[in-house]
Amino acid sequence: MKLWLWFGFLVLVWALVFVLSLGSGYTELNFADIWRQDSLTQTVVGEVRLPRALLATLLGAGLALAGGGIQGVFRNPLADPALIGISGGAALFAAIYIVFVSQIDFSLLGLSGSAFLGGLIATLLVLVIGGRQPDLSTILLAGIAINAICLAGVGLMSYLAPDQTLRSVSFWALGSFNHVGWAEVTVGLLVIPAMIRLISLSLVLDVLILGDQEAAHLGVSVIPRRIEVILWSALITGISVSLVGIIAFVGLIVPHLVRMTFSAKHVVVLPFSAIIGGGLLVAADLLSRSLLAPVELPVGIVTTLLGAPVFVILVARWSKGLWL
Amino acid sequence: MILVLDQVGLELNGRSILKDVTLKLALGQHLAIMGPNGAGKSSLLGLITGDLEVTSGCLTVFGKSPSAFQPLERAQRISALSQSSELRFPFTVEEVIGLGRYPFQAKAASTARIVREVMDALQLNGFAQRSMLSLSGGERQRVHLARAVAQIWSSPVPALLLLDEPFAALDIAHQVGVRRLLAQVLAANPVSIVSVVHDLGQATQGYDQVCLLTEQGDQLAFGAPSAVLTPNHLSELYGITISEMHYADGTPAGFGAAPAAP
Repeated sequence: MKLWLWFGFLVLVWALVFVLSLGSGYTELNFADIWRQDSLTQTVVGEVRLPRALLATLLGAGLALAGGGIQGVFRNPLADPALIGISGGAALFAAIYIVFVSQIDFSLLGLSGSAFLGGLIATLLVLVIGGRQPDLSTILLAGIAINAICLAGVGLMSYLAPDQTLRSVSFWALGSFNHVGWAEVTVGLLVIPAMIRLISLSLVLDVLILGDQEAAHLGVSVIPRRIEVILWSALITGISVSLVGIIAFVGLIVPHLVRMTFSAKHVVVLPFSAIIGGGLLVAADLLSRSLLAPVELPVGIVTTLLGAPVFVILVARWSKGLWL
Repeated sequence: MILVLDQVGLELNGRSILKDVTLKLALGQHLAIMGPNGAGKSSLLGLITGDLEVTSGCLTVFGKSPSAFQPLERAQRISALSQSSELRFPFTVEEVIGLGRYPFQAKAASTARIVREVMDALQLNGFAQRSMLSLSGGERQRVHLARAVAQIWSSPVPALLLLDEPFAALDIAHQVGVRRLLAQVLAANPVSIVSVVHDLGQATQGYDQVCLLTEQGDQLAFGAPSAVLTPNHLSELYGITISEMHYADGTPAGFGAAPAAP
């Protein structure tokens, strides 16, 4: 019962940040202004800020939830789609799509599909390198290697890319909502079914955390379920990377925070991560627009500045044998 | 018969692990599997759970080959405690024990009732809300045991509980507690138990059948503890002189290695 109240409170916080982000920017609008029907408001809010805040919500929620799923399936509370190379793989395949396919036939869906495939291949590589139950250092080392290869590949692609401004390395490596419109939001909606399916697998994820053998003895078909979780998480990550580039640390920090504060049960971790992740990314986007206004920072810089110090603390605690 | 093994053999990667194991287990009985390290005791449990497949002979659980069960159906009838797993997430004790009810996909209320009963039986009540990460090794092992017991608790049909070294990390008081719990489980539910055990100190207590496996995975003896657990068998099994010990009043007190000659 108390958890429901908390969830309601978090929805309110998200709504507050969302409305704030609609009003803030080069054209300052107060709460009453946002709803006006004049052409300036319609352009600034309706065409620029609203799709942006909506996509930040969708992708923040998706990334945080996918992070929770990936941590469960790797049995490792410090795994994250960006750290272990899923996002890097997705970025590389998105860049390859832009260079080699987009001149013939570009579609946002094709771009997202390509990024999904890249993320999937990277995840499978981590599994191949690390074995069935890789420990944290193996996962992170595999992630470093995969990220290095992928970002070098992205760099290479950016020299071959036709449109330098949007297709630059820094776009993929640091993430940005700068160019977002309704087309991106439409594709971003695809994370919703993936999120719903992952939440429906909550109890299976709880059981998987006990170990492969234990899960099998409890009647879970381990390999199909594990692959399914990886597929949906890679889909969310791929969509996100293809639309706004790599946004690191949301998927790492948010589920961790939820476990520390509320519960480790995935039926709590996944939905709570989604609402907190959604609010967090809208806030990070707002910060990225306002910190050095009128210059706009890539949003990935903001999430990394917020997330990396927390990660350092967590790793330091992990090296002392503490998992939280 | 709950469990029947007829001349069961197992080879893994061309290496023979188990040879000619033949035994039967009736409902309500507790079978102990003993033998030196590397005798294939855990592999024998793996054959019963369906993790491994027999290479020769025939093994049936509830009249079927373990691989003939649907995963959930099997989990509703066979519960297994592996040698302790590492858990890095802050699940509470109550939540972990509750996962033992996963195969039944039942309502939260009935799960909560069974979890409470099992925690009562294992004296884990005070731990219900504790995080697994804050527990000692022995406490964690008792929680996982409780999870395995919850899986077959108040089962309407005959069930089988497999325990791989349930006493390994427990102090003597908790060993006694777990023995009492297992006796209680046998008395209150239509259940049979197979345990892999190491400790010869109290080996004769509480088992209905004993199976001795040699280092090569051969079956040395199978039968009632009084017939199987003899100083001769045990000395042959471990390759050292082992004698039976007695309390002051003459009742048996398990087995021990004879002191080395000075």
